[in-house]
Amino acid sequence: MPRLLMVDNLAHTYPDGTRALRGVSLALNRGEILSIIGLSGAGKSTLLRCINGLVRPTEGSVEFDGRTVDWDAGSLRHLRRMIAMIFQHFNLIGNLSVLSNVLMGRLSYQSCLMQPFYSFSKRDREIAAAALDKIGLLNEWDKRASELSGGQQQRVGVARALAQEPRLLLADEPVSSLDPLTADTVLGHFVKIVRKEKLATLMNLHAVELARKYSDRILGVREGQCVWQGLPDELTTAVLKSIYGEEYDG
Amino acid sequence: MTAEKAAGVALPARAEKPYARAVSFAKWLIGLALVAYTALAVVHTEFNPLKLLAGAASAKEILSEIVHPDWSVLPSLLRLMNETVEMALIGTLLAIIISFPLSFLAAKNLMLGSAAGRVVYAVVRLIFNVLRAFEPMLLALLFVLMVGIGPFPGVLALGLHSVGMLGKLFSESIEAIDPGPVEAIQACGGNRFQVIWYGVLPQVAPTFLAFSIYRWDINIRMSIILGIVGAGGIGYFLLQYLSLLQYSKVSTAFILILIVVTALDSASAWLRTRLGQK
Repeated sequence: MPRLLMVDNLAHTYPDGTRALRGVSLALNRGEILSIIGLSGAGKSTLLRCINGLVRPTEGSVEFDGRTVDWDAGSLRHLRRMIAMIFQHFNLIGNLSVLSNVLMGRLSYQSCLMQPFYSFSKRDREIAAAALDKIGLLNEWDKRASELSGGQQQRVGVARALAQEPRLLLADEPVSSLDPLTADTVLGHFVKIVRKEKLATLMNLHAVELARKYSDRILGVREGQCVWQGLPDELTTAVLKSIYGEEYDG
Repeated sequence: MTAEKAAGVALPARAEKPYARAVSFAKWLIGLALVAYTALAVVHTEFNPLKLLAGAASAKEILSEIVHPDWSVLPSLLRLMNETVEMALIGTLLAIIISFPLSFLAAKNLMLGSAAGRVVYAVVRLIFNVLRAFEPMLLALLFVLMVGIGPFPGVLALGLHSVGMLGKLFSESIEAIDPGPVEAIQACGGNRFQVIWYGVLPQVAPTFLAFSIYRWDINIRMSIILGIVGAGGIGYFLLQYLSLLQYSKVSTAFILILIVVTALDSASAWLRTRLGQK
């Protein structure tokens, strides 16, 4: 399987001096699902945000599809067109319709003249509708996003990401603000689509069980560093203790 | 279980603060000074209920005219009332057009990222503060001198003052948005315009609309008064007939103002509730 993403020795220090990342390296192949686990505050979110430039790494480099990422605004927009993101708190615009929210995934394809008018091409609207169809919310397309349940809202978040027709998906704690049952359903559905479309996915997960169930490979992060990498089956209690600390009793 | 066990935890003693005595003495002094100043103010304002009672007798004549409104002036009054509402409308629209783009430049969360942004932010904030500091009445006096008597100086006065008010309210609601959707639009590859137009605007649009309607409502009441300095509308009529001692005509104006202001007030309140519920 050819490489899609190479992250080399990535580090980030926040302006207040917090060293969120202290040199993390990882590689992701096309079509692979890699989960990142670790305590909250271990640097998982910062790691994902460094890959699409929402957070600018202070050290290290990111190579996407064989090209080293530049951090100027123009190249970043081009990069973000190919990398979609799913957020813990969905980050939908509650006042807008479900369809409008999914169309946000097409913003980087919207022509200049149409930008002020919330207007999208027929092709963009078809792509958005197809994304809604995949996550099973096509019939809710004209509801306001805030009227949906949490699980439905995250599915709209997934549809927005799919509408980008991305080559890489970043999912930052995609189901941790949902109840356990809904979390498993939503994540299961998401992974099914990702597998079908052979999309490379990098996701932060809070729940070890979900990581074990849905990933090809798992990466353990502790205090801004990668402390373990392996297959889901290799995730033993001893390994978990090395990631979460000696108090871990899963 | 005994009652003693349920008694819980006693609060630890409050830490002894330095200068506690001096502080409580100063508080007493300030209180005393306030009382003294209030007493002086009663004297200076010649506050005297007896005077009011004495005046009530001479007001009898005025009152008898006021209870007989002169309806013959109604057509011209309606025209002037309409002018007042129109002044408020154009003044408010002018303010919206100017303050809408400026308010994004006066929002901390959008501007404090760069040094140039901080400068623009400070300048626009200052403009809003200065405009708010000038009462519409003062501005109207100034504009009557500049462009002459009529509704136009009133429009300018209302508009300029409202730029300060709306600009502040608009920029504060921009500062209160959820940053999540903004981050999502950035992550989708949106440019700076799209981030504001799709990430910020939908979040603040209902609030902007509610503030604008409320401002129009306030401006209608303000523009009634502005006529007194010659800035058009029904206020000018009021001033004229008051000085001519034609109280029955003044009375008609009062009734009309009361009806129109009450009606528009409840209409705007209803509209704003609808927006809030959405």
